Amino acid sequence: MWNALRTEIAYNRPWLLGGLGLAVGVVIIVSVVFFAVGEEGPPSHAAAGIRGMFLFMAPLIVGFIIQTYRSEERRARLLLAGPLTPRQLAGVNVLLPIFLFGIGVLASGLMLGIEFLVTGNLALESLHIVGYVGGLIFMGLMIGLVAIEATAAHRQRRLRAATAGWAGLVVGVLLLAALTSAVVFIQGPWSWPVLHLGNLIVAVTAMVITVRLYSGRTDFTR
Amino acid sequence: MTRSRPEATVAARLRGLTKRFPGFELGPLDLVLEPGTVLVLVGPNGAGKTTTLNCMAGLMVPDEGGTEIFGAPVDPARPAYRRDMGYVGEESGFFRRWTVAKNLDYLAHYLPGWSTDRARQLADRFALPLNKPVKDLSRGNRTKLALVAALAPGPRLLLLDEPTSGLDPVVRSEVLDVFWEITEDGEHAVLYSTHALSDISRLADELVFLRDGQLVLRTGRDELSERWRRVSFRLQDEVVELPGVVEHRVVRAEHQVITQDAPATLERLSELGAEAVEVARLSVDEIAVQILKEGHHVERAAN
Repeated sequence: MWNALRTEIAYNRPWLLGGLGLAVGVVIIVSVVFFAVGEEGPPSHAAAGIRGMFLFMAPLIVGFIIQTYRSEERRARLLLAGPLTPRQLAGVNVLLPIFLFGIGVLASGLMLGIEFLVTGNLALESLHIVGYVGGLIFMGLMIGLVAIEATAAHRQRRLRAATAGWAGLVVGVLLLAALTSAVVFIQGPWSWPVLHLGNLIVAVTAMVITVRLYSGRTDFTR
Repeated sequence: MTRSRPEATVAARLRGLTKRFPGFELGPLDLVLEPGTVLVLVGPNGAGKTTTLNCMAGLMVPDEGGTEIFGAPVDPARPAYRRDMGYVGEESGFFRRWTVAKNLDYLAHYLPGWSTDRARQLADRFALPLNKPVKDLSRGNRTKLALVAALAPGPRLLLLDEPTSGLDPVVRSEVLDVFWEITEDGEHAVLYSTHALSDISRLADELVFLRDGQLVLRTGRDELSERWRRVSFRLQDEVVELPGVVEHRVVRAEHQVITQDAPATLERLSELGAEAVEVARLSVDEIAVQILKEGHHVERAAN
């Protein structure tokens, strides 16, 4: 499974580097703009959130591209000629976005570190906003995987699995909406931890549903 | 996945294999493939050949029944069955932006039992352009690459799903020559699906005819070509019952029939006093067309 994951990352390295390069370029431009507008721009923690968003978005958008390639190139056919089981293939499917999310975390951390070196201060609020934005994007990708598997289950006439997948998807989207709205209402020291935890719960649940639905596939030809 | 190979007297066994789709049901299929046998699965498009092979390869899970490969049950969650099986289908899942060489290098590390020497020999034999990305390969070269990938681990069973379909005559001939070499040693069991028998008939030991998801006939190639004949004769009676006849045309007193039991038909014609009896052989493709035609009764053979 790890070998398959490593290979997919190596295969898609040009996309990944290109996406990150683009994101860094955008972050530099945005930083210059914020610097130019000075105090008329967004507060520093919001500016960090905006910049961090690009650094999370780039690898996770690459994640979408990778999933599309894997599906289009019928990678499961190749991997199922060897020692991997469907559960391990599902593992690769969910570990790939986690790896890419990790790159987003690293890139954003680097950005915040540079900001700290330049400005000499770093608000905790900035860390939370960057983490929250990244978590939302990651959660969106994971919910997308559930949608793919629920659709596959429906196509394969595994109606209970499809229903469970779609139900999980709806609950996930509702939670996503609730969490986004909650930013406005939740106040106090627990607000950010609650939001991060919510993101994490939805993402992990989506991962578990994806693995279960994929493992139960009756058709690996697509 | 270990490389220990359990001794089994049967290369592949299908037991009541059933797969349902909206408007189509495959099976239940019961089939046994002995080691060293080339069994050709013949049927028109949509007969269920690819579904059968996909189920055998573990790429589809049947609704009922199942398959064993050298005694190991085909279950995607238990990959032991794959150690002795090579599969060439329409799509092989290669990394299309990587070169042929890089794909083969990856497979060498991924597939147990991979022989780099065998892969190199086959790649040379097929004149595969190793430095070309897979996405730029012609259909023929992609098929050749899939064959190299299927053969390099040295499987004892090969599942080939219309591997020559869409290839030009020269490439098709090259690919068939390699099949000929592979099967000559008598150690490989091959299940080869096709809708055109002419290519593969020289390799086939047995033929299985599939129509609308059902097994219509299983027969030896020689038996098939020995029993089927086109017979023309002159007889005054326009309506005549002849054993084994699957097609009968009459123009005035001139009859032309196609029979699946030539000796019985000829004996009856002799009893009826038919004149100007002429017997001609049928090509395997012509026989296949007759067998697969809708509405014809063809005697079912036991497996």
